Parts: sequence; structure tokens; C-alpha cells
Amino acid sequence: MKIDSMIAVRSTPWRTHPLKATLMVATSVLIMTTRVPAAEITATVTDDHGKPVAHAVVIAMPVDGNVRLPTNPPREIVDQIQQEFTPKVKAIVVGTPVIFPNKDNIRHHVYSFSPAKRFEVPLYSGVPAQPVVFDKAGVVVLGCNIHDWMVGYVYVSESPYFGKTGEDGTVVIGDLPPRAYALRVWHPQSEVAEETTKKTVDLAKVKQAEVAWTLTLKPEIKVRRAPVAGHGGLY
Amino acid sequence: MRRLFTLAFALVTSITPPAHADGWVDVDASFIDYNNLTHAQNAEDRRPDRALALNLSGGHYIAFSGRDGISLTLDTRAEVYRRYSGLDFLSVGGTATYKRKFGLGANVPWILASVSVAHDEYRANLRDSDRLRIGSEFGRRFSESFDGAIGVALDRRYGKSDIADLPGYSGRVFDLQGQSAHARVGYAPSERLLLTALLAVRRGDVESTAQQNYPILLASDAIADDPAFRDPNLYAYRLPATTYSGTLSASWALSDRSSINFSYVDSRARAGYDLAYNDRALTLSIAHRYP
Ligand SMILES: [Cu+2]
Repeated sequence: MKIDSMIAVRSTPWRTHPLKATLMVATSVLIMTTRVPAAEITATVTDDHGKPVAHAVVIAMPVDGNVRLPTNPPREIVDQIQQEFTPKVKAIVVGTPVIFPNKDNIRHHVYSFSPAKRFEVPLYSGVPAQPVVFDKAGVVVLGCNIHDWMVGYVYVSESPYFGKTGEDGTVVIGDLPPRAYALRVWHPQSEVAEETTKKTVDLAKVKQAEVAWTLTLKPEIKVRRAPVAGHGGLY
Repeated sequence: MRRLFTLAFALVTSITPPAHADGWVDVDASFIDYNNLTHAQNAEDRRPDRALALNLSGGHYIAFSGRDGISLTLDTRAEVYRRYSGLDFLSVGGTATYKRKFGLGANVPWILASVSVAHDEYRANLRDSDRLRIGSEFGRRFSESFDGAIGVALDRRYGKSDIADLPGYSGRVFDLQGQSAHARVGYAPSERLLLTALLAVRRGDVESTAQQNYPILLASDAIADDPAFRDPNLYAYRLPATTYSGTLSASWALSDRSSINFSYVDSRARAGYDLAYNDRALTLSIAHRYP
């Protein structure tokens, strides 16, 4: 489950001056008691065979287009473990800094040339000094120039309301202001474009909504990692 | 031979890397079916056999940048034949390969240059030799499932045995050199399966074992008694030839670390005086990479 980033932002100033903090707590309590209770969406993604689909990103975009993006979203992490990106799919809100710690004892060279973010973290080990800030919405495909089989995805959402399905193919997007939302789903192997998966739910009328998608997934073809006999140890 | 095997084993295991270091050990075990080990033209001279082979190779990769680096491998190979034990051998060697990618991404062109050296020790001494191979390859990946490369190589085999049987002829039948060019394409129809086709042409010395005959005497410049096939009528000849070979292979990934492989190699050598021989080898092997 992805926690509403706006709440995380709201909690940051509490560490400031005690008087200011008290005032802010009072205001927050006032907002919480006066505002209509938040709603949630439970989304389920299955494939053609009815099997749950993990790593699908579900995005809830207010139909009125009125979103308040967090000004300083917290840093997120995409690790490299045993020469794979972990997690394979990371969903973040636009403006999020992401750090790519290398947990292997070998060096990686992370890059992307996706239009949403072109970057390169040249050959490194350990934790890079600077995070990469994803300032444009879209799908960013990650690669490593040393290990061609390494593929990862950063989904940069233009809405702060999103989540990624777990192994059970389900995600709960909570703390949603009661409004109408256009929902979409994205998965790296989906046969169809994200825009064609749109569904609308009106959370002004119901507090809880359940949405389900069936996605046709393309087979995952990655650059081969397994050894081939007689090709002793060439990268 | 046993001492050489112990040395090889010690060498490879000494470079066994700690978990996750940029080193690896490849092990592959094969079953090979050869239809013409003598490389003979005439049916009565052809000797087929089956062999078991074990490859053990330890490697280390040193990245100079995100675009280039060098792989160093220590390679050992042992082959044991069912019938012709004189062909049993152990080979110990090493390869240094420099590879450079022209840019960023899996689909950019690359070039590599490699130097391999090896020492081969056979049960029957005639074939004992040191080998040197210098090669270069240029290739690129076109998609996750398609890649191709072209390459050239120089090979030199320094034969140890020099027992001349015939006046005017050298005895160094396994002292060979050649130049070759090849083209290779790989296609992965699924995540697990990889199909590869390779075509190669080589010009240079070849060795052919046959009974004495006039054309092969004219074409050859070295002759020696070949005891490996336990037939006193068979002699080993060195002659210049052009060899065309094609390889088809299929590799099925059992995991990210291991695969089961099948390959078919067909070679046709053409020499002067209407001499020619064809041979093929079928190989079934299991490959595993540590860590
Ligand atoms: Cu890498």
C-alpha cells in the first residue's frame, strides 16, 4: 500500500518550533474533524488465466485534474542486489529523488534514456552521493551498462494517489479525498497502453470502491543471463 | 597428465571468487559424438567415437569504465574418448578479452579483442602442443532477442612432436597455423531458449589421418606415424586447406545460472589434389556458473 504522500509532507513541519508545531497540530485536528472522511480504492489485477499480477501500478487521478503535489517528497530507494534491480518496479510521485544503492560487491553503471528521465550513474559501488530526481511523469526504464540483462522500471506518477500490486495482485489506495477519480493501470508487460485501461469511480458517493482489471501480459524477454556452454565467461 | 590435472584444478579453484565478487567459475560437462576424428576423406580411414568432456573455467572481470573492461579467464578442458584413448587430453590455458561498447545500452555496437594461450597434453604424445589464438569480434544486439557478430582470428598450434618418417617431410604434423573469419547470429524466441547459428571459413594447415595414398603425399608437407587409432596403416598428414564450417546450437536456460545445450557442427575441408573431408560433431552439455 502506498501512503498518501501529502500526509507525509504535512508531518514534516512538526519537527519545527514547539509553538508553531502546536498551532499546526491544532489546525490539523481541525481539518481532520471538519473534513469528510477519506475514501479508499481496492484494485485487483489478474492476467488472462486469472492469476494475480504483481508489480502493476494503479494510478488514481482526480477527474477535475486538481491535485496538490508534495513539494518535497521523501527519498526512495531502488537497490541492486545480485545483479538485478530490486524492486523491479518502483512507483513514485513526480519530483521524488531516488537513490540507487549498489548492494553487490561489483560495480554497476545505471542509466536510462527514457524521455521521462535521461540519466547515468557512472560505474560505482556502494551508495551514490547524489540521488536522481524524477521530475517528469512517465515510465523510466532502467538498465546497467555492464550487465545487459538488468532491467528495472520507475513509474513516475503525475498524481500523488497511486499504488503497486503485491504478489496477490491487489493494492489498496487509501486516504483519498472524496472526489471522482479516473483510474489507470500500468504493467511493464501489458499488451495494452495505459490510457486504454481507464475506469472512473466517484468517491464522493461511496467511501470504498473496488476495481478490477484483467491484463494480457506479453512474455518477458530479457537479455539472457544464463551461461551458454563453450562461451566460458564472456560478458 | 595427472600432475597437469592437479595443477589445473588448483589454478581454477584458487581464483574462485567470494560470493558476489566480479568473478565467476563456469563448469560444463559434455557428451560429444564425432563422426570423423581422423578427418579422413575415404570411408575406410574414418574413425568415429564418442567422448566426455569437462570444462572448468574461472574468470574475473575488470571494468575500466561503464563502457569497457577486460575479462581474464583460466580455462581447463579434459576430454576422454570411449574407444581411442590416445586422444584423451587435458588442456590448460588462459584468455584475456578486452571488450568495448560504443555507447550506453544493451543495443549498442561493441568490439572485442582476445588472446588465448593453452597447453594441450594428450595420452598419445603426437598431438601435444601449445596453442595461441588472437581474435577480434564486432557485434551488436538488435533487440532483447536478436544479436549478431562478425569476427576474425589467427590461430597457431605449436606441435611438440617431430619424428620424421619420410625423407623430405617434416614430422611436425600438429604444427599448424591458420586465419579465419566468422559470422554469428543469436535469436531468443523465449526467455529460456537461445538459438545460435555460426558460419566460419578458415584458411590454413589442417591435419588428416589416413592410409598412405598418392594425392595426400603430394598435398602434405609433414607426415608422422599416428598411434592414436591403434592402426599401423594410419599416418597423420599436415596439408593446407580451406575449411567451411557451420554450427547450430540451442541453449535452454534451466535458471539464471545453468543451461542445457545442444550443438551441431559440420565442417568441410577442401585441399589441393581433390582432397576433401567432412566431419561433424554433436554435443550435448550442461553448463553451470558459480556464484
Ligand atoms: Cu550492473
